[in-house]
Amino acid sequence: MNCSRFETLLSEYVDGTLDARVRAALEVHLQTCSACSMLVQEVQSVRSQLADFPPIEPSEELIEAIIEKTSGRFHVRSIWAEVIAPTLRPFLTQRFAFATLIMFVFLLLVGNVIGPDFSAFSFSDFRPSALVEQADRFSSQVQKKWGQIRNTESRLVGEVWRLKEDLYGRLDYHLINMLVRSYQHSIEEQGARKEVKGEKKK
Amino acid sequence: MQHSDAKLVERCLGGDAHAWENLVRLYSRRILNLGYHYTGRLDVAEELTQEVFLKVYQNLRSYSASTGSLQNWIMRVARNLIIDYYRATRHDKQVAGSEELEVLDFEQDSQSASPFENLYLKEKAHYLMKGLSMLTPELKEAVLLRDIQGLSYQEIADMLEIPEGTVKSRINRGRIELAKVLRKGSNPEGFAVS
Repeated sequence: MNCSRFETLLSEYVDGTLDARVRAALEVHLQTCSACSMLVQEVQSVRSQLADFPPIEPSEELIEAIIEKTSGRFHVRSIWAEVIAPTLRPFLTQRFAFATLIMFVFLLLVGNVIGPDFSAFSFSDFRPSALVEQADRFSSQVQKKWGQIRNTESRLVGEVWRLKEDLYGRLDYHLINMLVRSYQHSIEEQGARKEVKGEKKK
Repeated sequence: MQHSDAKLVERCLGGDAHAWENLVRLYSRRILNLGYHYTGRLDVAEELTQEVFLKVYQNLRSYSASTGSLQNWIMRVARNLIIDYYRATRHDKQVAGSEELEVLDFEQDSQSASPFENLYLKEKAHYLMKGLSMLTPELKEAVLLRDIQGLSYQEIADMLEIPEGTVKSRINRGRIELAKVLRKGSNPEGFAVS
């Protein structure tokens, strides 16, 4: 075993893939050759440094890009891309842009007329204490209105009842009158028939 | 292993999107790192990774389990693409031994938290990449595949389509050459970590 031969087998020695006999011969050479010993140490160091080389992890963006480029499966879904943008897109085309603008201006004008008057508000109106106060005030107004509604309701119910009673009363009166007249009529008819029979007998 | 490779490929060819995603996730790390170690640039490595998988996707039908493992087949596709890129750009810029080598922030290991250790990793990686760039393409490739990618002699031989003896010879010469280069350009005590 010489240095040249040793060098050709160096990697397999370091990797531990040599058979026992050849390995033993190399180790005998190493005991007497400092240059080869140093070379072994350097190659072992290089090998272990390369083995420890930190690997790069592929990012999720890269994986998605690969899949999108190949099978096309990945598609970033968002409410904007899937729903809102396709809905708005037709209105933003040149054809409908003018109509969209007119509609927007119309809504602004209508909102200005019948919507809340924002100029009446100030920042102090949005303090928590102011909001609580307004909520309380609003609540008592609502309660008052409910009271008024209930009063009106009871008054109306009473009126309806009286009307109903009155109506039934009138109906009863008319019905009785009709029955009485009908009875009187039938009695008069019977009386008239009897007179006719008596005259015939004579 | 080859049975499961064949099954995975069959599912991919059958249009199973999850199978394809699994395949991508399984091999993307290896391909990305191979690309980075060849080119020294992460952005280029990412682009090449996408190109590799596109080619794999388009040619998946040509894979046959009888010719070898899926990993080897994909690595072969990757290597050919990367070599083509390397040859195309070699004359444009000198990647070997240049400051253009991208030094990545290897702050990915949560256990390696201290700034000193992160700096050490960065410096070490730069030092090794620079050393590797001094080797000839054949030697660099053999050392990368063996010592960084962790492939066996046989796998490298299959991938490069050369005899196993040639693989061993290249790895041997590559390591010795790299050791000499690093010895010339380094301060050994500076990388000692307790």
